[in-house]
Parts: sequence; structure tokens; C-alpha cells
Amino acid sequence: MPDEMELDFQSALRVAGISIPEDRYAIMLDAYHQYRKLVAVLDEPTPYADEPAAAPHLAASPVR
Amino acid sequence: MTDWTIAEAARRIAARQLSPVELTTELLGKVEALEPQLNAFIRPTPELAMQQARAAEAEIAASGPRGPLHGIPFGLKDIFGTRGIPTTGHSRSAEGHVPAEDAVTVAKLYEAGGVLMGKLATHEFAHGGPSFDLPWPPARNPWNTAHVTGGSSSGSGAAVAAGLVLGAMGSDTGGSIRNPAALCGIAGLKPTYGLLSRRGVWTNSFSYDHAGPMAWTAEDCAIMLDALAGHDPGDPASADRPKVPYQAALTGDIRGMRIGVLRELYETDVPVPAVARAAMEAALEVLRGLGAVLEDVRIRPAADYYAVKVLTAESELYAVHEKGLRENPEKFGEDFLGRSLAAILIRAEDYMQAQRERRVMLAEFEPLYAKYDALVTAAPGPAPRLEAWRTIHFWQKGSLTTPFNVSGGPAMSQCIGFTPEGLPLSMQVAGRPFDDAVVLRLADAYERATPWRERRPALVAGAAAPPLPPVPDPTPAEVTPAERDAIALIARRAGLTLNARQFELLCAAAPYVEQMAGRLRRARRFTEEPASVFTFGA
Repeated sequence: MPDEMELDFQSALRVAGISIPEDRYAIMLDAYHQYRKLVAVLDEPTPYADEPAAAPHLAASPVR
Repeated sequence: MTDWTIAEAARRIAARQLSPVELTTELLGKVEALEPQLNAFIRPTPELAMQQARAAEAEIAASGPRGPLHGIPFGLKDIFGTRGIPTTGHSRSAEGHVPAEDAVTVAKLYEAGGVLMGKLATHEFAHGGPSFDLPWPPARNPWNTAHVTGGSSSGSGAAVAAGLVLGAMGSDTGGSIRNPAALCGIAGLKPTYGLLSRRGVWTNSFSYDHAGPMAWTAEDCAIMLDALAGHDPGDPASADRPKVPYQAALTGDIRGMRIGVLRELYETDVPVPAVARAAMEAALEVLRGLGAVLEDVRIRPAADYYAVKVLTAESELYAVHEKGLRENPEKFGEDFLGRSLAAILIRAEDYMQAQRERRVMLAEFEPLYAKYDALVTAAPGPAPRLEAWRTIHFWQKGSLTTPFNVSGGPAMSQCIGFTPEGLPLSMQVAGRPFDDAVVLRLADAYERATPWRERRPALVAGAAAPPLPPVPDPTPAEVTPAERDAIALIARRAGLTLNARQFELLCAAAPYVEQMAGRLRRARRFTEEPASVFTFGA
């Protein structure tokens, strides 16, 4: 019986329309486990004033 | 009662002909008389207003005014943080939120001597609305209380139009200053991205949020901008540029100014009613009469800008509210949910395509900036009735305002007439990034040449507003059973627990998300980097 994480992995594959060869399944599932550990640190939202590093800046435009 | 502009009240205060205490008392009386039919305020702050007015009066008597905002009553959209005063975003999910600090823009208005009349209604978190299922009712249009104000700076539009405050702060992510300014017949400026600090303002979208002034006239917006503009190292998107005088730029002279008319945008792309087109023609004639040189010009289809903005901004909005949406979706209004939930259907690659397309769009605006001093097009309006709104409209309709959120340049709405029923009609004036003074000069020159600023809403104290419509049912979703299953999977993976209505809202939006993402999927060159690629400082 797949656990919750494996069900998530399977649904992610379905949504993305990806199929994995049987012999690669275990290693990809393990990679998914590792990925979920990485993104766990993002689960708590940052304070509202904190913007992403990538907030864009505008350069001045040419004046006619 | 007198309907003051900031400029006129400031002149009278400086000449000791008007006292800030008298002015504030008069406006507080007006709020008490008219607010029950307008719902412009979430929380009036009469005690603070009188305290600030008395302090302003004493200081002005002793040493003269600090500037034209000294003793001037203003209001704040309730996403602007105020120390010790609840700041709710008009959302049940933030009812108990009391900021520890003032937003930078609020502090600047206090420093200029402004008098805070209260916190104003907004579409939920500057996004979802009009909503009929929130702890506070939506603001109503002072020109006809059966009609919407437009949003999301709904209370700001209503309060300024009704003369309850002389100026207000709004925010604009896709048109949220210009839309209510247009529908309420006032002036509202979305300044250049980065000109005003957004620190302490509830984030909607990091990439597209702008804070800006809303007031009765372009001159009043310029006065507010003089106090508000400036670099804030605490806002990562803030521009570090020399200060420019805005009110002083209002010479009334636009002779020789080259103006590109984005006619196709409002005639065929996002068509406005005939009455609005006629008002635009008349407005263009006024500009020609003032000596400007007009020429029709085209930009991309509005749907392109809309796709870029919505795919980016909804993703960013979801990142801000993710925890709340996962844990307590019932604390948000259905209109907010009908927009924000669909962000789970936007893939990372769609977000990146949108950011890359934005870079291309920014480059496409450059030749227009070189050729024209300003661009004009219609603003939204006239205001529809409250019961006409459906959440799905957010996904279905392109927008007249969003191209300038994508460009990041300044854009403002101003009144250019009225329908036979008395609802305002408006024009947008847009400009080069950091040429906010040019936009204001053009708008001010138009106002001086036309009579529209003399007409005010005819509100009667004690008049009853029509009842609010019920919360509309979700629009039936046009998705197959297989697509419905896929959406349910995605929702489950996102950790969402939705009831049947909430799930229907999500499904209804799904085809539009796919349509928008499809507009942007194409092979790209290496040089098409995302607009949000950052650079290291010196």
C-alpha cells in the first residue's frame, strides 16, 4: 500500500503527464522524498514586507 | 458643506482662512451623515484625526505649515499598515491584525502633517471583490449607490468622490487605483514601479504592486506625490533616484507634447460603450486644442498583457496567502477564493514564461517612449451595478489598465465626462517610467480646460442604499470529468481542503488558466531573460 508521500508522487506524475520506467521508479521516488525535504523550509510564509530577491527594477527610459 | 480640494484647502490654511480643526470637524460630520449609505470606511479614526488636527493647528499658528498637506484629512486603503490601528485587508482572515509599525508611505503622510480620517474599504487583500460575504460590506459608488466603485481601492475611490477625505492612498497591481478612480470620477495615479515604497503595505504581487495617491484632481495627486515619492532601502524594488518636483511641473502648458492614442485598445480590443468612446473623442479634441500632437498607435492585444500579469501575480498572491488558504479557506470571501485558488494550476514554467514575456514587452515599450511623451486610452467605466459582478469576469475579461502594470510606467485615470444617467467616464494617461510629472502635467492641463471637476455626487444624508445582492453562485465549470479529477489531485497535492462551492470556483477558473498559459508557451532565445532577474549592487 503506498504511503501518503508516494500517493503524492504518483499524482504529481499523473498531473504532469509523465511516466517512469519501472526500474527507475524507486530512485525517482527517493528523489521526490529529498525534494519534499528541501521545499519543507518554504512552508512558513515570510513576513509581508519581505520581497523575493528577484523583485524587478525598472531602468530609466530613453527620453526623446 | 464645502467640497475642498487639497490645493484649495492648503491655500486657505496657509492664509489662516481655514483651520485644520474646523476642516476635520466638518469632514467627520460628513462621514457620520453619509457613511451609512457608502460603506467607504472599515474603521474611521475620529479621535486620532482630531488629535492630529489640533496639533497641526497649533504648529501652523506658531510657525506656519510644513507644506500643502499640513492639516489635510486623508484616508488609507486598509492594506496600509498603521501602528496600533487594525489593518485588516477587508478580510475575516486578518480581523485581529494590528501592525507594530506604520507603512513608509503612511509615515511620510504623517510627517507632511496629514490628518488620518480612517481606514478605508478595499476588495479583499486588494484583490477579491466586490464581495458580499465579508465582515464589512463593499463600498458603494457615490454617484449611484446601486453601482460598484470599482476596485480594489474601493473605499478610497468612494471616500474621495463623496468628499469624506481630500486624498487617499490606494494600491494598483492590475488597475486597482485607476479602476475605482475612473468609476468614481476622481483622479488616481499609479506611479512608476519603485517610485513609492510598498514597505508596510499588504503584498498582493511583488512584481506588480504599486502604492499611489487618489484625489479629486491631478494637482492634488501631484501634491501627495511630492510627499510620498522617495527611495526606501527597505523596499527591494524601490528606485534610488533624485527627487523630482511634481506640483511645480503643472504648468498647464502641453503645447507640442506628442501623444500616442491607444485607440484600438478601447475601440475593439477591450471595447468600451459608445458613450465612453464619444467622451474619449471629445477629450482628444481638448488635448489637440491645447496644442498637443496626437497620433494613433498600437500595442499588443490586451489579453497578452493580462496573461503575463495574471500568471505572475496570482502565483505571487498565492505565495503570500498559502498558509491561510490551506488552513482556513473559509476565512476568505468567495470572490478572493475564485481568483487565488487557481494559482495552484499555474506551473513554475508558466510563471517563468510570463516573466520572460514581460521582458520582451518592456523592450517593446521603449520605441513608444522615444516617440511619444505620453500615451492616452480609455479608462474603465461606466460603473456596472453591484449585482452584475461575477468572479469569472476576472478570468474572462482583458483589461484596459493592466498593460501599464506590465510596463511599470506611470498611468493615471481622470474624469472626462458623465453618462446621461450621471455616472463618470474616464481617460487614462500613461507615460515613460519616472516621467510621472509629464503624466500629471497632461492630466492637469486637461482638467483646467474642462468643467468636470465642478460636478460632485448629489448625496443626501440619511438616504438609504439599495440592499446588497446575494453572494453569486459559482459559474458552472466548463471542464470534463477527467479534468475535474486532475484538478482535485492538484488541490490535494497543494494541501487544500475545499468545500463543494470552493472547488467549483477553482474548476470554473481552470480553463482560463490553461488558455492564458497557452498564450505564452513558445520557444525563446537565451537573451529573453525573465523580467525579474536580479542584479547585484555595487
